[in-house]
Amino acid sequence: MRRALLAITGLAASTTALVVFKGSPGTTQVAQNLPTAQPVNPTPQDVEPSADPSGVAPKPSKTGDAPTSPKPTKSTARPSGTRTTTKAAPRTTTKAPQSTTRRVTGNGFENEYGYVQVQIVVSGNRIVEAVALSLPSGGESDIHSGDVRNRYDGGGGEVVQKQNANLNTVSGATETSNSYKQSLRSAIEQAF
Amino acid sequence: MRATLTRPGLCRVEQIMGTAITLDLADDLPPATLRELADEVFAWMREVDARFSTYQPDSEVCRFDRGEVLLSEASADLRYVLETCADLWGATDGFFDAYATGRLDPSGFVKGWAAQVASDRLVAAGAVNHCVNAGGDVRVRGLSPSGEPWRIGIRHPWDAMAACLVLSGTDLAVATSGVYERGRHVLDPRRGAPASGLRSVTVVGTDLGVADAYATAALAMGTPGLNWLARLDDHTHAAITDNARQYHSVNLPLTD
Amino acid sequence: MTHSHTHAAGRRTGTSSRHGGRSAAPVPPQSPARRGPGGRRLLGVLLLVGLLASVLPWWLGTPAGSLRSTAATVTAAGRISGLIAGYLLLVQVLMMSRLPVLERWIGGEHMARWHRDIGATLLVTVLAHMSLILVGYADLRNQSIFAEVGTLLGDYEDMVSAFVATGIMMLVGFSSVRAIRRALPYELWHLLHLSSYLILLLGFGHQFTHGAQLYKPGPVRTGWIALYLLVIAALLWGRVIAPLAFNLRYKLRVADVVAESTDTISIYLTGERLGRLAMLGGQHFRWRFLTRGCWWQSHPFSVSAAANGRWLRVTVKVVGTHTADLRDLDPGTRVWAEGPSGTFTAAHRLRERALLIAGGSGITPIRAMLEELPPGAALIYRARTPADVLLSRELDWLAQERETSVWYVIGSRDDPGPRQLMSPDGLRQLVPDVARRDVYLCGPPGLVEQSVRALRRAGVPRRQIHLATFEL
Repeated sequence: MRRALLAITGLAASTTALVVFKGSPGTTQVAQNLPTAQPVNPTPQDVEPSADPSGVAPKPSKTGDAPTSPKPTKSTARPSGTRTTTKAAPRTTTKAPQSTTRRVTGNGFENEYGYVQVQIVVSGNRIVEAVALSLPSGGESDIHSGDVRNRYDGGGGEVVQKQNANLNTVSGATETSNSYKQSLRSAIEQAF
Repeated sequence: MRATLTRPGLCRVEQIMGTAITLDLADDLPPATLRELADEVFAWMREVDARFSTYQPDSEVCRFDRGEVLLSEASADLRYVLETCADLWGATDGFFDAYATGRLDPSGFVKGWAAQVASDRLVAAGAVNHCVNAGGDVRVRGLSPSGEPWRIGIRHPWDAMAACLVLSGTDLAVATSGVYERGRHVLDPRRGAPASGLRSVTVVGTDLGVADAYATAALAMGTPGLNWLARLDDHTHAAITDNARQYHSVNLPLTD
Repeated sequence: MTHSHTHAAGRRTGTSSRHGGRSAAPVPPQSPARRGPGGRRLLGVLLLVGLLASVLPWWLGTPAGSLRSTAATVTAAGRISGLIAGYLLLVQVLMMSRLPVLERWIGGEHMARWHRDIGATLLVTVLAHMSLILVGYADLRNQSIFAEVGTLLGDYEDMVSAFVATGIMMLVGFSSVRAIRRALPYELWHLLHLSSYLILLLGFGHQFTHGAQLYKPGPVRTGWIALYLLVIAALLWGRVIAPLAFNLRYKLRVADVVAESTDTISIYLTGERLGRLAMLGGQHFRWRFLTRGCWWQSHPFSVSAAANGRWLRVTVKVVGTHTADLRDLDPGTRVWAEGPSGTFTAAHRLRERALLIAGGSGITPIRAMLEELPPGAALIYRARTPADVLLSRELDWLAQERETSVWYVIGSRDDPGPRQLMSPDGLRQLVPDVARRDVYLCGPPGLVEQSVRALRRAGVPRRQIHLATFEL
């Protein structure tokens, strides 16, 4: 029994140590608030993602997939919301093109599903994009969508598929979690 | 470089009502006019937020709920919202309930309704090609900046970065209600328990407020909501179940 | 001298063993090669590495500085303890798998201690996991703990079964507290303990539907599932396949039942290919005698003679209804045996010479081991009355044959003679080099506890003291 007591004490101590280590402000904030002097992208985004950037890209199409600087955080791999909206035909632009965009990363917040962190892209004094850098995703459902993707079962309904066509907008339920709001708010507070 | 600059119209995002409101004006109007239109839209949305927010104790909704404002003294907007909520309560068999939380909370209708009103006003002002996206509730009219009908993706329930269906149209109100995070549930107001079975419901119609309320109600109904949705004559729908099955009406304006 | 109260009790009250000692092993077998504690230590290290690995996904998946609020910190601690608990549960089941390798490496006595210690740790960790997560989630959602319990049970898949699993675990844990366990009938305790497998089953789901580190498909989830499969495979192997293979190979049957004293019998078993049976004196089997009344009960008995290629023998003190039925076993009865297991053998000694202390029927493994110990061993045989001395003829013969000194210490525990003898001084006087010997103890708990205390005070290092344990 003495060994069990030792083991329990040891585990409690190491758990505390782990949590304390992770809790101390570490490296997350390093990469944020990088002002990137670059022309504004007048096709702003809200939270929604979309689309294959090469789809209806304008003529100098190389630039179509980089409307803003690469994300400075670890979630670079996630497709940032890019959208191509126009045909190549250049028409009048309504917005003053010369200002700087900034990326501001909100504080991360923990909720029961995981870690939530939001980044906003600010152009001038306007938020043109809000991206969740880290969102807990759908748990057991991930298996479902992964398993059944690209299959069709005549039994009941179609299998949900992913589409990534060029979209003008996306309809979806709002991310209402408190963590999302908190992170977004902190990003906004830092930005303005 | 930056050829993406060259598009007509204007696009603006603001954070109102605790969510992102995106306005996309596709009309090739003078910049000053477009800015003015956008300013008006966002001013309206902020006004709605101030008057209908359940988080601000001095909002009209909260004061009405506390009895400080009588129905006879309420603004026309509030009366309209209350009446419509009552109608929706009947139309949805009680599943859309502005009093589900025990106090008046019409936000399930207000967000879509506000965007709908904004869109109506834009049409009246001559901006007939636009898209208003209020936190995922979308009202599109006319053509997109590319000159084609608007393309509206429906968010994939398990992948925030993907769409699972794409709709296309020139006059659509598209509202989606969904539970994407595990454990988060829409309460079935009649049982007081969380509904289950449906992960996401999209309702397409012409009035965004109604579509939003219908989507919320169907989600709260759970799987039986599928049958209820099928009985709606003037709305089409798409629904995704917990086990990743997708159902939609035949005449849903789908596109590839 | 202290010998005044000790006397050789050669008296036998029952019929003597037909085979006696002499014919059992015409040539005393060589001492088997030693098996050190290396395997056990290696396994200990492996388990520690596994423990670290089980927490690693949390460490890697949690950004530094992300735990800003108390709720986040508490939740994080809850997740860590959850991972640890999940891992410990698997280790705990693995310990119970009776995998031959584990039995050989760790041995019954250590296994029992590990099982007890890990079990207690596991219970505390699970309770910590549950309370930390409850407190953390309740704080995140701004509701009371009780409301949070409701939310978890109502809204979260697999959570009801997880709570049930925790309940069972608490029950099993409390029923294993020594004082409570003694008050429970063995069958009830055993049944409770068997329900532990339910914990594995019921606790499984929630880890994958809600475990922050496990719900996502990926190497962590795959690894965790693989661990489960591995443990279940070990369980199947140790509990089903290995025993099946053993019994199909050796086909043991009862050959004869002989009374050793008024309340003790020896059961002789024969079978096929016994010459190839790798068994060490002091090891035990779990026996099932396949008769109508007995087949459903399995009891651990040591063999009471070393392997001789012709027969096995167990010597059993008849207490309780089950063992009473064993008197009436007919020759030819099929026997289902699981084993051999245990590290209570001559092979596991650390020093060259040994001191054996037996109490009552605890002589049986020691009698078997005696054949395999090098010359120079010493045996103290405690018995309440001369009638309780078993197998004395064999012991006397072995004493002669293998140059072993045997002391029969007869009398109640409170008699001055035995008391003096079983004291540190008494032991040192009897066996002057006791501190440099391995000590093998087998007997009633009181004797074992008393002896261990005396031995430790006489300067015998703990690791040189070997206890025979059949509890599992």
